[in-house]
Amino acid sequence: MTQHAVELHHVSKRYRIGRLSTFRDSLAALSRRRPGQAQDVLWALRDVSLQLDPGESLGLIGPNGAGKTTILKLLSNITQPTSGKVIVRGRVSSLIELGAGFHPELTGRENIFLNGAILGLKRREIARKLDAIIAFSELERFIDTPVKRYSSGMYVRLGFAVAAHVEPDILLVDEVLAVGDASFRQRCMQRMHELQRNGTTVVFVSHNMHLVREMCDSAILLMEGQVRAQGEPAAVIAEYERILLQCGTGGELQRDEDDHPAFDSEGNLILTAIEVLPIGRGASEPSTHLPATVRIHYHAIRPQQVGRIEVLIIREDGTVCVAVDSSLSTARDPAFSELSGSGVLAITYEPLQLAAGVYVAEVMITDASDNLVIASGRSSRFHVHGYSTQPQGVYLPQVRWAKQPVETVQTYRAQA
Amino acid sequence: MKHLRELYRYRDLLWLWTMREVKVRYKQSLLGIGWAVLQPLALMVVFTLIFSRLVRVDTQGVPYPLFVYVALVPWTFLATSLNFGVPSLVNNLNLVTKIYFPREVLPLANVGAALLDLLFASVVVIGMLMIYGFWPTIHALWVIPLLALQVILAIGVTLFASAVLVFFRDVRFVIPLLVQIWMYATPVIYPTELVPERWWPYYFLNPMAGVIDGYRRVLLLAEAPRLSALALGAFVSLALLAFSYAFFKRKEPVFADLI
Repeated sequence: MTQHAVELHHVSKRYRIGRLSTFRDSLAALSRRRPGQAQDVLWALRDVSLQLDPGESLGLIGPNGAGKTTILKLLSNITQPTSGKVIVRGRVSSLIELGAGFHPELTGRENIFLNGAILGLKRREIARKLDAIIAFSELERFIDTPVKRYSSGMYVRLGFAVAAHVEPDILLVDEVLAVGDASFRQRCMQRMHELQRNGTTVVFVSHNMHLVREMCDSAILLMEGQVRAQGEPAAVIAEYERILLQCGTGGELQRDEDDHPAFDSEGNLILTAIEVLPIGRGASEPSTHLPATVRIHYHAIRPQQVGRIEVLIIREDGTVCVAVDSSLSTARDPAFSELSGSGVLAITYEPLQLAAGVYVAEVMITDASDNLVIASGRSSRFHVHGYSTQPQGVYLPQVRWAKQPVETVQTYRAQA
Repeated sequence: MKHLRELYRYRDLLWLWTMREVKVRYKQSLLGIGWAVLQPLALMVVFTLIFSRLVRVDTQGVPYPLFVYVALVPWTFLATSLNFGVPSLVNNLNLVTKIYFPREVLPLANVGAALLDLLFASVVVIGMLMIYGFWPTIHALWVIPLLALQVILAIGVTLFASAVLVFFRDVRFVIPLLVQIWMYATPVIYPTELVPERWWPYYFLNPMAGVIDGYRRVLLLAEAPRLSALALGAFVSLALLAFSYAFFKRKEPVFADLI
């Protein structure tokens, strides 16, 4: 029998909310002689047990404040349980805070070394991996530029590139930070699959049910610090969706943001389904020359400010074929800047104009500052039908063919 | 022991973080690392004006600028260690709450950065010794154990205070005050001999008193340092370091919850 990579035995974690931070407060507390009154205490986790075999991937799902982040913190040894036991065997690396310790005045290269060392790498190891890290980040041209000149996307790319090269035994991932452009996100996923194949144990916190289903061997649904469901990802996700629907506006799930400032503020917006449907009589599947619509079903536990909505249609082989972005179109409409309750966002392509093939639609929604992804999701695979089953190219606009006399062509050129 | 082994594993981080502190501190300033020299130099000018023009202090024939600069450089090391090292945990909150590494790296790196400043400023000390014609004797070798003692003390105080700051933010305001008071309790601007000899057993409980006095004797007076004072100082410093480190590691697990 092999040893577990991760074990949690009846772990509970309590946070005191009224923090003592000055002499005066603690003197006052002493004189009251009643430290730790009931209402000052928040149980972030209550009696949680779990085991993970080496190489296993676990998805943690649940609403904001359910204790997912606390589990990641316990596993990475940042914080200690109030009671119970946490056992972690092997080197842990986390994709929780990408680029932690980056200093804006230092160059990309200097920050790679610093960040790598924080993640537990030796200078020699970093030097050996330096080229791979720089190549992965695609920041060759800017690597000797201070990172204060980087965009937030570049910043995160560099951070991920370092973290992805730590080669840990146990990888902790908080999906919220999976920003960057589509092709970079895709490489991040590839890299994670690669680590999984090499036997890395992965603990994955995500609001993206599709990714949990795709990446994880098992899942745990946490609610209010307790395990509500555990097992096959599909079954656990189904349970979560059932609870969400029951709650309607999510009354029970709602939690005061100020309860604990360390909890992530994301997870208030959940994409429950993404579908791609043809528009037109009798059509059951999208086809090249018919209009189609991408329907994003969302559920906002609380009203959520939204910065940008990005919808990608990606071909089976990973090529991003169509990218629409709410910031570039009429969807700048204020109606799109806040989502509340449940509803559907529909993006219509009229017509679709995609060559026949197999695709998925991917959706990413960022917060008001456009720095963080607050919700993301994927449709299931869909077929686009067309005239040719083996098309060249991806874009099939309706074109008009004509045969014209030479003069016309010349006139046309002259004008151009 | 376990903690030291872990710290050793993270030695590269300690080095890189030390260099980060140095680079960051001087990157955007016009004079760069020149500030490491300029700070004690400016104080030297002020103190020289006061104590060799306005008030006369007996320096046993040593020119006052040299007398005070030899003390100000090591004193600045301690002050810089404390000023930058003590808030290092609280200032790097996003790191401490998100990623695990031995936390003592942060205060230690600041002591390290202050040490590099000191080495840089020492060049000027050597220059001044030459100009004033104080050629080094065999006693100058004492500088090495004196420096070591100073580093031990600085680490001890910085570790302790940085951990306490996590619990009590008031410490942030106490440190500059403490550094100032401490300087007057140390023979930086005046000679040790000004302190009545019957107070010495208490006076030298302050390890910096023995150290600064030692630097003057070995560099300026070509004498051995007062060994009894140094022994007392070494004892205090080592005890403090052991206590501080144990305290720091005991409190470390709750840092992330409190910051």
